[in-house]
Parts: sequence; structure tokens; C-alpha cells
Amino acid sequence: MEKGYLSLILHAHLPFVRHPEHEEFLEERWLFEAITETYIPLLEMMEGLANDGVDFSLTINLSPTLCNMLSDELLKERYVKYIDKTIELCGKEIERTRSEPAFQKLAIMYYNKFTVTKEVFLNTYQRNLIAAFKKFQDAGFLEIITCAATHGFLPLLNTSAEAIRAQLRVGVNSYRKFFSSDPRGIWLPECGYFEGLDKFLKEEGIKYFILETHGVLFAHPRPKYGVYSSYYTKNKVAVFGRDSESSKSVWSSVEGYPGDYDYREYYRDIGFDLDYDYIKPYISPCGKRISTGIKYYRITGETPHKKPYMFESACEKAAEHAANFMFNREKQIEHLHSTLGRNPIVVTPYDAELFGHWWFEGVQWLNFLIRKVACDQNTIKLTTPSRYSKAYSKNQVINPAASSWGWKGYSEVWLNNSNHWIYPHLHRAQEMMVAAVKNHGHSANVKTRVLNQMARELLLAQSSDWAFMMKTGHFSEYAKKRTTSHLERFYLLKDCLDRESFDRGVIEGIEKKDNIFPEINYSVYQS
Amino acid sequence: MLPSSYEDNRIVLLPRDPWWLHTYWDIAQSRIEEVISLIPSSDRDNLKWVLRVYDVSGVDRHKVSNANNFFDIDINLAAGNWYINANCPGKEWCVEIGLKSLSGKFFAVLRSNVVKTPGFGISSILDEEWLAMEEEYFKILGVYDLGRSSLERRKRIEKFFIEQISSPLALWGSTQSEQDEIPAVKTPNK
Repeated sequence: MEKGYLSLILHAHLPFVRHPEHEEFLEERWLFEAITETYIPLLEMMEGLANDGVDFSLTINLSPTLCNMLSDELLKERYVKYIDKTIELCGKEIERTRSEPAFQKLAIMYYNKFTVTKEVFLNTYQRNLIAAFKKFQDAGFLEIITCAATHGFLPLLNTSAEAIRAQLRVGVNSYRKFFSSDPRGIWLPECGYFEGLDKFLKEEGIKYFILETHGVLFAHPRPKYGVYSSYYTKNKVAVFGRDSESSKSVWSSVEGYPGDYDYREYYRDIGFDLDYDYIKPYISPCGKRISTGIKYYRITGETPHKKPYMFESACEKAAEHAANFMFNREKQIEHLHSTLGRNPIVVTPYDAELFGHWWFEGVQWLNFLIRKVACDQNTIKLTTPSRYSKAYSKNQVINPAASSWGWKGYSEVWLNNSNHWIYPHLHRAQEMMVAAVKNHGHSANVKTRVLNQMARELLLAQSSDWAFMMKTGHFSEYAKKRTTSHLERFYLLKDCLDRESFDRGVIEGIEKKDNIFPEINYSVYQS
Repeated sequence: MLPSSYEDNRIVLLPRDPWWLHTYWDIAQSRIEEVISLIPSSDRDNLKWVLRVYDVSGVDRHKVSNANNFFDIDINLAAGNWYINANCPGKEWCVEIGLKSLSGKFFAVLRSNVVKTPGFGISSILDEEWLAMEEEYFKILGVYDLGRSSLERRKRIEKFFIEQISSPLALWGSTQSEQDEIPAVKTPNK
């Protein structure tokens, strides 16, 4: 009999980036890279597990913005172009590296990998990755949970109840559309929680959510089992806390596995290393050097002199690290089992894009881990929060503490000198949205369209990704532009309503650009 | 272009973490003039702008007149926003922006919403039904040596949590190269 449970939770999210007004758009590559390096490898991993009869249980959050992009025809078309071009580059690389066997071997590896990826995308999954994930949910291996509509950081939008409700309700409705069922769980954007959020979650029918460790540990009254159990909030929504010990072994740049010297070096990419004229057709349309996804070196050590990547030894390391992770979880769960007097749950959430994209060997690590847990031991069993809740329905009632899983544990990443200028605009737009629905909400035809599009623009402006990018400095200009342009479109549409003057061409233009949530209904902003 | 000012007479308060608050404001000139006109002429010289920060924890309807206490911060009105070191987790706060005379009289111009700073630390409230022994409880969390005195104990626990929470914005690989590389997808920061 098992002595406890491990719940692996992946949070897959990208902000909505889609620019039909440009032939090619650099930031759209985030999606293409994530499809190639993370989403398809995860699906293939699950195919392999299912084919081999391995019983497994995973939880994944596919954010509503990601689902909207994965189902978008234009982005699918562009993805095929992207992968074709990458394959073409691999072909050239095989030729270029013919006198360097260590590199040519890798060029061939990439060529094969990308060719298979394209084949799987087009033929196996028929361009429909959402259906591919859904298949595993329907088979009982995977639990897909939702997220707030555009990944808005809720603690900083909480100047109006309607804004919180809309982020949640649009996220839940989007899930229903894609997965034909109600979401049981929600991934709160950045695990951002404020006191009272559970009431909103209850209203949307959410059964559970996940918090950063201190969100549970600092709850009142003191949670008896630390983060190793589920609890109920007073509105009877279940809450789980992240285990920091197991998270660290993967996340930490010091102690974490991904920094191992045998693993692939993320920061050495041929997009930067090779002759400019040679690589020019494969980098940014404006001529700026960027990652191509083709990387030939291993981390090697604290040195700029990197050695060629060796796939086999990296693979062995991933197996070793999976064994180490499992061993530590066994010890942890044995200890907790004897201390708690009931089967603990260890909840380990990660950004999905860590696996494959950042940590090239991450999906293999996960694959090894799942197989080992299934075959090599009896202490741990994989579970999902839903399953655990079913088995342990009697739980202590706590009031979780405001918290997030961002740097320093609260709101500072999204509220500092680099990005605090957005809140006066966002908060006012939230109020104006509620007022516009109140004033014009009973009318039909074109006003309905305008109100719906205003809701889309507001939600897009609220994505926490923009504030995050302003803070880190990566793509901060783009992030500022996105925040500003959605708010500007919002005001332009509001102006149409106020003046009762509707230029259909303008409205259609905006609808075509920001076509997220086609099913949206502005009534989510009704007060 | 987004408006640089809305002149809609508002001050908004946001909690940043257990110790810090953030506030922004937007005041119409007419509102300032209105308040000044109500100030006795003897007090009108050398007025300065301040934020009055009220602790309204547990106060009925959060009335600032019944606040537990307050403190003032000199500000630059044109800054439009301010970070406030309230330094007190788990409390409810409200701010007023206003003018203060040389003699110390305060004339409020606008009042904010009420927010609560996140609590910090393990709750001392215990559920009888779910009672756990202190030592045993901290063992679950991985704190084995609690120290002898209660002060020492409190310090160790807080240190433990601050270390747990303060994860740096880390990047993998050896060193991020000098090249103008921009990581696609999100920079891992957990």
C-alpha cells in the first residue's frame, strides 16, 4: 500500500500574441517554440506511457489564452511555416557540419526531431493539440484545469469585484468550450491570492486551487498538516499548498537539476554563433539575431569554453535525476506518513515551459520519473488534487493568507517602479467597463459587438505577462505597447458608444486583430 | 495616447506585501482650490502635501476618525504615487492625501479605499479539533531546532520563511551570455 501521494502539476501558459497585421512577428515564436519543445514532447510522452500500459496521473493547466492560440487558424498556418523553415535550416546544418562529427550528429538529431514534430502536428494530431490533451483527460490520465481568462494577477485588479468575476468567468467559459466539461480546479495566475478570493471561485463552481507554500502555512487557524493535505476555505473550496522542498530541486539555479553540466546549454544557439549572412534568413525579420532552437553545447561548467552536447550522457543524467527525485520523495513521504498519521500529498507545480524549452531534458526527466514511480517502488502514488479530495473529504477549514509564487512571495514583481503606471489606467478601465454595460447593456446589434470587444480589450490589457516583462526588462517595449494599445482600443470603442457613432470598418478591424474569446458575453461585467 | 491625468479625484491604495503599501492619486485643481478655500487664512501659508496613513484594523466601518493610530508622510504631489512602509503585516489601512499647515493641522483632500497587508508568520490560532504539538508541527515543515526562548524561536521561524520565500530571479545555464539574447517564453523565476 502506498504511504502518500505526489501531485505533479504543470502550468502551461503564454500571453495572447497574434499579429495578423504583420507577415511575420517575432513574439509569435514564443508559441511556436513552446509547441515544438514542450507541448508536443509532453503529448508524445503521454502517448508512450499509455501505449506501454503505464498508469499515471498528471494535472495540467492550459491557460485560456494558450487554448485560444492553439485553436487559431492563422497561428496554426504560421506554425507550419516556422517548423518548415527550421527543418530547412537543419538540412543546411547537416551539410555545414560535415567535417565536425560531434556537431553533425546533433544537426541530424534536430533534423529528425523537428521532422517528426511536424509530422505529428499535421497528421497524428491534425493540427489540434487541444483535442490531443483532451484525449488524455477523457482516458483518466490527465486532469486539465483552467486559469483566469488572460492570466490577470488578481490581487492587483481587486479594486472592482466585477473585474475579478470577469477574469474567472471568462476563463471557466473558455474551458467549457474547449473541453466540454466544467473545470474542477483553477491555476490562479502566479498563485496570486487575496483574502476573499475563494468566494469568487465558489461562485464560478471551482472545486480547488493551488497556493504557494506560505499561502497555506500562514493561514488562520494554523493548518494542522502543513502543506501536506488539502484544506477547505470557509466557502468550501479546497486549497492545496506547494511543497517547497521538491520544487527547489527542479527550480533552484543552485541546487536544481537543470543546471547540471551535462545538460544542454540554453544560451548557446546558432542564431548567435554563426556567420550573419548564413543565418540571416532564419532570424528575426528585422535582422536581429535570435534563438533558432538549434543548440550544440552542454553547460560544461563555469566557463565560456563550452563542449559539444552529448545526448546520451544527458539522457543518463535525466534518468539519474529522476531516480534521485523519487528517492527523496519516498523518504519525505515515509517521514510525513509517520508524523501526520495519514497519507500526505506532496504538491509540486511547475511552469510547463520549463520542461523541454528551458530544460531540454526536462520532459525525459518527467517520463523517467513517472515510469519509475509506476514500476520501481510502493511508497508513492501519483494523484491529482481532485482524486485526493475525493479520498480525503474531511478537512480542516482555514483562511489562506494573501500570497503569490513570484519573487519575494507577494505582489512586488507586478507592482514596482517599472510597471506601477499601468494600474491607474487598468482600474479606471475596469470601472468604465462596468458603467458601459450598465448604460448600454440592454441594447442589441452593434452595441453588443462593441461591448464584447471592449471586454476583450480590457482582459488583454490585464494580462500579468506585460507587467512581468516590464519588470524583467525582456521585451519590455513590446509589453508596454501591448498594455497601451489594448487600452487605447478600449477607449476608442467606449467613445463609439458614448457618441453613438459606429464606424463598422473600425470595429471590424479591431475584432479581427484581437479575436480572442469569440464566445464572450459582456454581461460578465454586470454589477 | 493614454491620458496622463484623469482629474477624477481619486486615491487608490494597494497592498504590495506584508510591510509595504502602494498608493496613486489624481486630483483636479478645482478640488485643491475648494479645500484651500475652507482652510482658515491664518493656516494657509506654507502648506505642505502629506499622506496620512491610518491603521483601521477592526474599526467599525473603517472610520478614520476612530483609527487605531496614524502617521504622516511628506510627499511630492506631482509624483502621483508613493510606496509606504507600513511595516505591520496583517493590518487594515486607509490613506488620506491632504494639506498640512505649519501648526500641524491636517486638511484632507481625498480618502482611499481600505486594504489589508498580508499576514506573515504561522498562526497562533489553533483549531481544537485539529490540534498539533508545536515541535511536531515544525518538524513537518522541516524546522527541527526551534531554539529555547520564545524570542529565539520566533526569529528562527521568520528567518526560515524569509529564506523560503525569497527565491531569486534565477536563470539556468552557466552564465547568461553577453550577446543580446532574449529568452523566449517566460524567464523562470520560481
